[in-house]
Amino acid sequence: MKFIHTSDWQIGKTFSFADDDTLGALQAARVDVVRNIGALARQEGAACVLVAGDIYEHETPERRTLHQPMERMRQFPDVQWHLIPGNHDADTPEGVWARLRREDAVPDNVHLHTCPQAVEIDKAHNAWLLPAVLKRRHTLSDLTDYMNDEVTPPDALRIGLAHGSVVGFSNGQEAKHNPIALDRAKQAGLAYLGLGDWHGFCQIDARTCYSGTPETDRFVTGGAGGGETLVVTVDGPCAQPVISRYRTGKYIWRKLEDIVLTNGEDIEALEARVRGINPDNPSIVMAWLEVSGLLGVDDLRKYESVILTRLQSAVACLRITGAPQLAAGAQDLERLDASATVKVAAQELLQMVEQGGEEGAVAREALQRLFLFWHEVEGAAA
Amino acid sequence: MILTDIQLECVRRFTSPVRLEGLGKGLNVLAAPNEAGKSTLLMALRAALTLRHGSKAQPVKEMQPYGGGAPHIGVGFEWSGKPCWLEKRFMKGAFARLDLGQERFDGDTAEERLNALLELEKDGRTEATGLWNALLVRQGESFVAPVLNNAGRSSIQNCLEQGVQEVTGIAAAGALLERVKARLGQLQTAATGRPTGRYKQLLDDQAKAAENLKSLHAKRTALEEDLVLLEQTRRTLREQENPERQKQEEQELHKLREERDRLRNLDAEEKAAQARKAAALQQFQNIRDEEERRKEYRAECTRLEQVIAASTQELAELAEHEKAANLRYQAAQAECQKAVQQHQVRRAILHHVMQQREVQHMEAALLRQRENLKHVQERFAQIEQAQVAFDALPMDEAKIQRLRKAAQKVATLEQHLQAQATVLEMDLLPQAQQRVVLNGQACASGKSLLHAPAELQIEGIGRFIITPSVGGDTVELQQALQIAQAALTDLLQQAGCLNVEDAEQQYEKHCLAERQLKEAKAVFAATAPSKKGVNPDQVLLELRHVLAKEEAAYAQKKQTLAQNLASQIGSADECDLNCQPDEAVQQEQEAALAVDRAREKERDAQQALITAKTALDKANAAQQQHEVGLTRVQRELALWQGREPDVALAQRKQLCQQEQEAAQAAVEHCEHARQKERPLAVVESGIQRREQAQKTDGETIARLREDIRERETRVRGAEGEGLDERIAEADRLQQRLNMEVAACTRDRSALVLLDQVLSKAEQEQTARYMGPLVKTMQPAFSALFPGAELEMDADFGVAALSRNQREDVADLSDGTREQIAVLVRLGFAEMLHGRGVPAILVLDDALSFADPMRLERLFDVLAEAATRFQILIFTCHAQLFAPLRGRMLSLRPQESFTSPR
Repeated sequence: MKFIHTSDWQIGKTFSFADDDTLGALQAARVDVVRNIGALARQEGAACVLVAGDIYEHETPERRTLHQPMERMRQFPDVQWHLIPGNHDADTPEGVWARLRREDAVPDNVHLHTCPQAVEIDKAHNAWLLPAVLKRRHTLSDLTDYMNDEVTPPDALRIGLAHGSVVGFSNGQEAKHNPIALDRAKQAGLAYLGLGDWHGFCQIDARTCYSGTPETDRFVTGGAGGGETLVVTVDGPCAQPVISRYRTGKYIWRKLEDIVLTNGEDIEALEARVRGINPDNPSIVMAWLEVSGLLGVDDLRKYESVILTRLQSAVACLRITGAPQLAAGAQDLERLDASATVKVAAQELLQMVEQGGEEGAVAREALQRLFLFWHEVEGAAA
Repeated sequence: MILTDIQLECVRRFTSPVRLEGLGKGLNVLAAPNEAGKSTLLMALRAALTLRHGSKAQPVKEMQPYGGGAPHIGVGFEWSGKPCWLEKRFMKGAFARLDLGQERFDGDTAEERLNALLELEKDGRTEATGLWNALLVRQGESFVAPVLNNAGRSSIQNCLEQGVQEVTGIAAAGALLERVKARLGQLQTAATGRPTGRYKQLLDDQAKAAENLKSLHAKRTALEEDLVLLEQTRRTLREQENPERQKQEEQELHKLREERDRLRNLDAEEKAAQARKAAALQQFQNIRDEEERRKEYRAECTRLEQVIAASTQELAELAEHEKAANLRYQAAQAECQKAVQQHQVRRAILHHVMQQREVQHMEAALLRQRENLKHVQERFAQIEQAQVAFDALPMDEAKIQRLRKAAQKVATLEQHLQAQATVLEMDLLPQAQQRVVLNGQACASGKSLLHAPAELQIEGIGRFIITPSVGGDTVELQQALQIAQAALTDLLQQAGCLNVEDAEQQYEKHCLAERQLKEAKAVFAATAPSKKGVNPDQVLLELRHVLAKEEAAYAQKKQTLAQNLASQIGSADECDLNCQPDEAVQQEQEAALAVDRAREKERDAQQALITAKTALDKANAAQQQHEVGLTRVQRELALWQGREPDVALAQRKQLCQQEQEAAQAAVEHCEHARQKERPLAVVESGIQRREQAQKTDGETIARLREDIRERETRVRGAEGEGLDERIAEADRLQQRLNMEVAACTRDRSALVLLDQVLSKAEQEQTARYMGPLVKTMQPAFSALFPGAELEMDADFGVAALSRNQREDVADLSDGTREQIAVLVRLGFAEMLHGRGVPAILVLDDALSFADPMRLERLFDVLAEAATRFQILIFTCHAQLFAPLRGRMLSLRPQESFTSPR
């Protein structure tokens, strides 16, 4: 049997660093990835798509956000979509799943699993799905525990689907909530245990995998960084599953840390580095640059021109924290020789910069602007 | 640049062509009365030089005549030795033409060429501005310092920069500063520095976003609360609507009711048994009380009989005792009375002795007063004698003074008269004395004073008539002397004196008598010191009156004493009556002590009698009470015995005991049965609660359903809004706004600092290079204000003059400030001229407030400046500006506007 494993669609997620246009594009991409998954299922001949929770980012999404993924799945009537709740969209009495049912928004090919019991999903292969259902955002008990004792017909292909943190796998905060036993697949006799919550692909053991989010949503993502969907082939209850990873995400997210700029070459290198992330199409690159360093007057202008103007327009999103500071020295003041008055002002600002402190920082910005305006004035005069 | 011709038509009052004639190098004066068109002429000149021909803006419209028309202006001038012509028509058929020598420029090209020539800068679509605006000085403008716009500043800065070796780059700094200010102006207002534009919008948006986020979080909290309560309510409703639960409750209620009935029956049985038991108990108690009472009454009978026997004997003893006490009391009363009488006698004797002693004191006092009166009377007699003597001597101080004055006057007049008399001194031989006769009398040797003609006859010799030289006042002196002598005589007669010496003696006696009188009065006053200041007559009268009263009181006292002796004492011994007061006092005190002792004895005896009587009465009363009690007890005992004998009572008591035991057994049975059951109140409460719950179940279910509906509606509403998504979006918006606001704040701080630093640098540099301007203007200022030094500010205005001390221009008079403003404009023209840029100065109706001397100096300054560039002065004071001796201009109408080519 071949099926698709995915999770953490996080439909409706917002990104505080993005401007409105970028945000719209990112949100659209998260919805559109459902189509990519459907297409992948068709392409691979998989009749089922198992979604291991966190379909939605929010407990109370807007109506359009609520219906968008359902409508995308409706477009693939030949594919059966099996969904379980995650910590972001737990099955609470008035949660998203209750809303969907109430609004009769669930297509026939979409199955919401909100009861922890074995459900037959493929009669031909005698495949049974054992969903773990989160009834609230966080639980301290292992919701996959029941799978050990859940009865299925003889020789059934038992496939577990859960959302949470594998105990002992992560040392982070998330391990405290929604725990899942590391060897659940073995304990419960599962042919495969599909997990959600981890946004990057991560294989725990031969039968246990986090698919990661199909559309990357973080600069810092564990595992392989997300943007992938898994195609799983299981030939029998005891056969080892074959797991294939397919890229379904549109955007490439990268964080470049500790970038120190000291001259024009550094600026050019930085531009090349960012463009090199995806040379064929930089417009799908989301880059986060942590920049520092000291640049001369000309280099600072170059930085503004190359990075802040050119590169920013080239990529989908250029998030920059920090900035190179103006390293104006006495020699830089020579370019102001045309106006002794301006030079005097620049000298005073330079002195303030050298004294440091908050005033020094303001003076640095003022000096930076002085050179900028001076350049404009000279340009206008020319 | 020399203006050579100005023509205009259709400019305000000049609807027909008019021409300014007489223009030439140096000073030009247009002296014309008010409303002759001087200001219109200047307006036309400014328009030709600065307004764009194609404009239809307000400044152009203001030039039109009242009936409408197209203002048409022509200006002829020489520049670089070439004749030039500028001609502009505004509004209908507008055109501009500039001929510079052989070159001709039309339309916008003409405008641009003119601006370049005059260093003007386009200021909007209508006007071009520059330093020239400061050189064409309209009426009233001369009073204020020229305000320079950017082009004007730039122009003068160019002039100044050319003058200094080091390029200061102030213009560039100005351009930079302009950009900074423009950029800063996008963030904050220039006047108040408050946020504006996008920055203000961001701040507002930030506040709104925060408010919105807060509101959304509040909604989220409300939603969570609704969700929790919704779940609870649903659970409650499910429980309420459960049929199993209802059936179970019904069964429980039935059981409870059965239990309640059983408990009620048990309760009734117990109460009946209790009542029976209580009745038997009460009856038994009554019988036992009856038996007790009978026993007590019998004992009481015996006791009372014994008590009565004992009290009879005691009564007899008490009667005896009372009789003896009565006798003792009577004896004590008699003794007390006697002691009281004795004491009264002693008190009368003591009173008599004290009165007698007082009479003796009064008698002695009377004697002293009589003696005193006698003494005072003697002193008074001395006063009277001295007064008589004093009164007999009338020569007092005033009189003697008047006499002395009159005698003095007579003596003075006599001396004056003698001084004017003729002295006849003769020394005669003894034998010749009878032979010389003066005024019929024989003369002796010596001096004779002659006041009147005298006849001297010398025997044997003849007769001589001596006539003294009688002066003007001799006669008057003689008359005055006679009057004075008469007055003196009159005064002497009034005083009863023979002469002045006698009067003096009289006065001395008067003084002596006066002293004696004073002494007598002083002695009298010393005799009665308490009456100091009182008239001696009065004092004497009072003393006599007092003595008379004292004597009357003495007599009265003596008489009273005699009467008392007779009435109160009577038979007392003579020796007791005449004893000393101390002795009488002692005897009286002893008698009083005897009275006290007798009274003490009497009180003791009385107390003893009262005690004895009380004891007797008490014993009598007790005896009677015991007898009555005995009778009552005996009667009641007989009554009870007659009603129910003791044997019958004992039988009834036994029956009661049996009844009581039976009732107790029934009560114990009930109690034992009830211990196994719940309390009735609890059971009834349970029944009531369940019955109430059954009644309110319907209401509760309806309420819960309503509550669920309400909460579901709210939850659906929140869901429909996509609350979480909206919160995330609002959060994102706020973060973005925070970042943008922070960026704007940083930008603003940097720009403010840059503005400050650049402005400061520009001012400092301006001050540095202001030197040439000061140098240019200083000669003119020195000519007008000798010894004054200029101080200029960064706006090219004069800030202060330093003569003996620094004076701010703002503090100077209007006239002086106008003169300074004119000199500054003159300086500007000088600077332009020095740099080879066309420059003239036109003053309309200026300098009217200058005093003649200052005006004379100013004329010299203007005349000197006019040797380098042209100066036009328009004035309505022809006479005032006549000494300027400039070219006299005139406005002349002409048939048509005449262009040179």
